[in-house]
Amino acid sequence: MTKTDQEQSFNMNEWMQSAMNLWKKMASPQQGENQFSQFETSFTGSKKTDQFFSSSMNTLNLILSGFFEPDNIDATLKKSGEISSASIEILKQVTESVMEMQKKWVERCIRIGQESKAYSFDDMDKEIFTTWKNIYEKEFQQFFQIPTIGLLRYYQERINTAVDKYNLFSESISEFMFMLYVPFEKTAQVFQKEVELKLSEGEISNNFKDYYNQWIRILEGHFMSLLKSKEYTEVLNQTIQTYVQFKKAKEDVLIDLLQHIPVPTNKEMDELYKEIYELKQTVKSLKKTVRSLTSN
Amino acid sequence: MKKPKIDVDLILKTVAESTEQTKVRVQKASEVLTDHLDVDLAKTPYETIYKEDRVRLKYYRPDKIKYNFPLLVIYALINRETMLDLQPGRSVVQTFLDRGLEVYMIDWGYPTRKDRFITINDHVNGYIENIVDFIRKKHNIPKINLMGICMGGAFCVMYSALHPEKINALVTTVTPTNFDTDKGLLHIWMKQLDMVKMADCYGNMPADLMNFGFLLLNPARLMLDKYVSFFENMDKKAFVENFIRMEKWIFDSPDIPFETFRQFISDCYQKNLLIKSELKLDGKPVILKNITMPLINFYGKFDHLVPPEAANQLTKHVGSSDTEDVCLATGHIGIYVSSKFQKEFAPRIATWLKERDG
Repeated sequence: MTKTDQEQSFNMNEWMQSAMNLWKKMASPQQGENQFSQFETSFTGSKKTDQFFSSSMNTLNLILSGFFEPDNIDATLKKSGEISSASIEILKQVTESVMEMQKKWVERCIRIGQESKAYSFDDMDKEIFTTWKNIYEKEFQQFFQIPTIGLLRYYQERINTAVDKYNLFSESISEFMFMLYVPFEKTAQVFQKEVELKLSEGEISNNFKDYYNQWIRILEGHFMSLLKSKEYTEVLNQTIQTYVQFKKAKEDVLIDLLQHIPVPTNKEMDELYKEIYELKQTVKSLKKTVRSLTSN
Repeated sequence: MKKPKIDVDLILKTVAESTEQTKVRVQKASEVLTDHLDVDLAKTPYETIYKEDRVRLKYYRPDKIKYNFPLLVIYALINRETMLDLQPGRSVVQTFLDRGLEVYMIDWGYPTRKDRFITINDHVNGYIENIVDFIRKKHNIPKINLMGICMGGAFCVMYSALHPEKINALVTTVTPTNFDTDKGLLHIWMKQLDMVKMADCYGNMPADLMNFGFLLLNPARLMLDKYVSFFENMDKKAFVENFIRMEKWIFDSPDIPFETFRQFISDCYQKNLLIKSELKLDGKPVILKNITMPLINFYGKFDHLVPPEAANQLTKHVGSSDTEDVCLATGHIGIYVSSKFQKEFAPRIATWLKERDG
């Protein structure tokens, strides 16, 4: 070690020591400075916090002084360049990971775009629900099915399930509501054509009630066709199924919340009702037996 | 060809007149709607003489009793029995009383979650059996007359097959017994939709969902046209009163106990066991041939809930030689509430029962 290095090490050490002493002094309670002061004063206003602060500073002092000991200072100064290159390496890894994630999202968006291109523009109205459902099930549903960990894993799992089921139900109910709207759309088209025909034949009614009756008759006919169709039954069934699943998942979450409130849950009450029912059946049966025995 | 001339003046004149008429109607309607309206149902006096759990038995006593056997009326679990006593002049119960027939009517009450385990057997061999025995004991008679409406009629059929010795005569009205038909939307939906799951997640089958389902059977008429008609006539007090009464009745629906609903869907709608005499209650088979008492079976030609094909097979499967099918040109509810059929329906039942009064 050269004289300059030794001087540098000595100065660095002294500087570190004086800096630590300064913080330590400020962290220590000061006594008797003010003749009128009857109480101990502290740097942070709390003795406990001062103790914590003091011990933290001591730990830091210990680590840093280790770096600047005469035996270590050489290595510290030489390796300082390596610290920055290590930081750059870490940053590079993080950036690559972010870029990778971004790439995956872009690929997902491309897949979504390709999914919707598969259907023609004419069918976008009724097929949009199938499209959305396919996109959701392939691209987004997986995030709600990631296994949960930790003490609260079951609660989190039930919340994820409830959100997933809600999304599925939203799609179904939207499709169902759209189906109920379709007869109105068709009625408007047919009604317009019929009125046009009547106008061309010179049959113009002055009574708006006639037009209303005509419109409602056409609407009723379209609804009857819709209600008897296989597609309607399938959509209705799907809506019922998804609603039932969502309701159950939602109730599971509510039951978790209810645990903190002193009220019984439906599940607990059902068990009680079942017991009461079975008891009543037993009593009725016994009453019948007793009656038949006493009548004999 | 020249396009016909659209008389714009006439159209504008019609619009102006319609607006004037609407204004007058709305003004009068506000007076009608804010005035006292007689919209109460079931005004015929009765006495509650029996109670078991949620079930009540109503007793209607005529001024003069002219029948040996009283009539027990069993309504469906859907909607309320008050429909049989809608208003003066449209009351099946009052018609029976005027003829001197004592009437008992079961009030099924409003099931709660507590009742979700109650089965069809509990209704038929439990509540109905106890009530029949109660009436027989009260009158000191071996048999009574039985009348069922819709699902209540199905219960009556089951009871009569299991206990024929206690029934003098059986009347079924708009009663589904054959479910192997696609004529009614309900029959299609109950086979293809999993409504039992829906009922299970609610505890019982919720009345609100059932009401919504019934409205979906004909949304154009039941959700739109009906209220347009109300708007057009809401300045007429009598119309408003009748309309409100029907609204009160139609949306006064109890839930259906889950186990009963489940079994009815499964064994009746899906497996059609009743008409095949393969239905079992508490392990005992319901054999339709055991129905040996006189039977009259009413159904509606335009009934969209219980189409004729679902109701007109019963008389072919029972063991009785005294059977009659009566098809009325009306719908499911019109049989009871239509002013036209008031003279055709209840009086005919009363006469038929009188002929078999022993």
